[in-house]
Amino acid sequence: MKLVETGNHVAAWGARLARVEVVSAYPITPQTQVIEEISRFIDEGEMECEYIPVESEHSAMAALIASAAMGVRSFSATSAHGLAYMHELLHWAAGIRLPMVMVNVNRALGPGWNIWCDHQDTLSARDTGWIQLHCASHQEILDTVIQAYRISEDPEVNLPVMVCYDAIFLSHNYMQVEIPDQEAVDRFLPPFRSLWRLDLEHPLTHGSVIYPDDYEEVRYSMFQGLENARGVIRAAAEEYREKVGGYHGGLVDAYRMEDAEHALVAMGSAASEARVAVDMLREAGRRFGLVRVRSYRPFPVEEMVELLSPLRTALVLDRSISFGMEGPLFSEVKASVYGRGEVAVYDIVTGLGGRDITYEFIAENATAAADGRLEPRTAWPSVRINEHHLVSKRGLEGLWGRRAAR
Amino acid sequence: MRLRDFPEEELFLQGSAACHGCPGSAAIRVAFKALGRNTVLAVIASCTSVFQSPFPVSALGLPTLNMAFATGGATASGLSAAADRLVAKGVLEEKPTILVWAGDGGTYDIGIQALSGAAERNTDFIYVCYNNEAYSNTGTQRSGATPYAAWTTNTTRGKEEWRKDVAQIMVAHGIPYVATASLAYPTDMFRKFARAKEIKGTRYIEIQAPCPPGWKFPSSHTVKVARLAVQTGMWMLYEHENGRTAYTAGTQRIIQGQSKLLPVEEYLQAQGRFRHLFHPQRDEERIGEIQRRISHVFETLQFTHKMKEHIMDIELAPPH
Amino acid sequence: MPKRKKKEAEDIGFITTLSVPAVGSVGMTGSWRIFLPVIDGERCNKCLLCWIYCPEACISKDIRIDYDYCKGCGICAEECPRGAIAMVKEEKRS
Repeated sequence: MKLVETGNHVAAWGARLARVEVVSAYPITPQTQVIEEISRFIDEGEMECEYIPVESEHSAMAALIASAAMGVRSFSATSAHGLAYMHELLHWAAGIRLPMVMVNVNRALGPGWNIWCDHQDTLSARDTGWIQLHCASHQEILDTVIQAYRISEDPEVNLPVMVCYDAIFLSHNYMQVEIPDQEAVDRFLPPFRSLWRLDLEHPLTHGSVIYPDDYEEVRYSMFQGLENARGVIRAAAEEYREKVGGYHGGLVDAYRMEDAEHALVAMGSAASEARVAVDMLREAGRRFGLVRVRSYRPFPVEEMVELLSPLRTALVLDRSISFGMEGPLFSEVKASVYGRGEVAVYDIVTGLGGRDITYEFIAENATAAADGRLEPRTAWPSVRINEHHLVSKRGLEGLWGRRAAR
Repeated sequence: MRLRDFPEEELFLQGSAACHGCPGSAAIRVAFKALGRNTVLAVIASCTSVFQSPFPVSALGLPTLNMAFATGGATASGLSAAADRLVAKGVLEEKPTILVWAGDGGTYDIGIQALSGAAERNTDFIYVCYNNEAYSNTGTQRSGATPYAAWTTNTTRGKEEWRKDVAQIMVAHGIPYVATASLAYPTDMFRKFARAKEIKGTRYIEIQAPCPPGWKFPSSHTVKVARLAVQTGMWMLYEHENGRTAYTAGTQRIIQGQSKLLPVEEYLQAQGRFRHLFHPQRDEERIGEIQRRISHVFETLQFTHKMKEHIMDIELAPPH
Repeated sequence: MPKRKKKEAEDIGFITTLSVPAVGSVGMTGSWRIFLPVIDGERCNKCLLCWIYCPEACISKDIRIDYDYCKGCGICAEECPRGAIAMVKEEKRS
């Protein structure tokens, strides 16, 4: 069945096809359509599911942990401040080793209320132990939500998965998607499984006090789970192609990289724009390719080495910033290829708070990087100081000046 | 129900990490006996996180999920929704009782939002606040439940504010059942848990839990202090159902005039946390204020009780 | 990651914070005791108050004390309405 839908409604379809049984979510722009659509599915009898209209995101994640712990397939959706508010429980969900899936619509963090696209929210949740998959199209959102359950519930993994997609560009724009048959999805995705659940016949206690003697091993096991996820993510994508149809790559999606000398590295919808830039640069005779990071955690280290090490330059597009350092994606790309080849890695931080990233802009910066005209550290080429910014600067000067006079 | 009819089975296992004379473990024993094995437990960060003993063993004989501090109500919502699905699918024959066990910090302060949300949704669960009137787990800091004038490690001259009353806040949520309980009245407590178990929807039970190290009294006095709290009116026993409040056990006896309201000093002097009200000299003002508030409440209740009896007499009188 | 540790992890597999219910979860807590409760069987009328008040579930319903785990808090002696329980100084166990 073909539908023309918003990315948010498509995510709801993913949960429906995955036969999710508990949804716990709190509304936040730009995620609201996800839970509205799920409520509609439930009300119209198309989904057998309990929807918990919690009073906060902190509670959304707590309820999700609890329902997964009872042994039921669980789903949530959030964005930006919501993700930040549930941060404590992101650690709890992964730390107690429960499979579940949540979509996060990538949005900027305040202050300065901004509901547009930005990756600061999910990248700030990087070290919580969640698997993090980033999508670049509506079809990929749908397919990834379904695959995410397969990955999350794999006994080698047994960890939560966050499916991320960009605010407005993907969440609110309409695109055509192919909705697979329920039977095909059922063949791909077995009923819910988890390595543990709250069991009345085996009354065990989960998540109690743990001493230094044992804590490190629990964390090491989580680390191993994320390591195992690399293979499971790739296998899930292949199995999905075979049983349901459609493929978006494993941990990365490589485009025109076969004979590339230079690469662009990006995540999310900016990668679609970068694809156009690659085509444009190719037409101009420059051998560019694109590496789109699909799995931010686990990070595609091997893929980066294989694809980027032989190249001359790589330009990373960061849609977030690690303050006091550089673009986080930049750090990780460099760390991956460190000591492996001669590739010079450059970085631009751009597109924050939904600012448009055009393919011309990408091509221009890619050329500058390839020609050695960029500094080998994070650049902010789209920053442009205007009259409004200067007004606040002058205001402050005036204030301080008066105080000094007194 | 008489003590001899209480189930013998222990779902709280001896040899735990609880302090000497712990009111939390004493309360959990009675709760477990009343609720039985078909119960799923969520423990919210509190002394109970500690006294259940550390990994890899546990003193808790029920399937237990330890959860973060602010999550009590929300955790129950997740457990209850999932349990409903498992019953609908036939995985479970009968829905287990969902029990959330939290302290006063996790109830009055950091967890009140989630508790209020769950109560508003009328989530099907029993929420227990075992109220030791401070953050005992972190070394006795003040909480919203700490009474006026009590010493804690961050109210060293006695708390300046009066405690709030979460049981009454829960009554205001319009949930089906709210009760308070005391360690000193185990049959009353057991009956309230048994009653709560029969009801669907959000049920709230608050147990006063005198903490020997936190309140500074000998470990053997836990029950004695709990009893004095009721006898002096510092802690009131009641249950609220169908829009009506019924006072029970020791509190009921005082209201009905069968026993006397003891002076609050007897309660205050039994604990080191109120010592500064008596040494080096008596603080008449603060002791007097505490007594005035209690006396006012009980005089009102006693008056209402007498009026009701009087009205009942009129109603029951045969028509002429 | 050293090779040795990887191999071990493969053998161990999944590790999580899962605890098993057990009596004596922090060991023989009877060793915490300073005073020992002793029941005078003749005075005891089996009212069961000590049984229900014991915070450690160390008194059985037929009123026998489990000295392996009794921490000696003294609630039973304090609450016994017939004064049938005495707290006596614990003798040093060898």
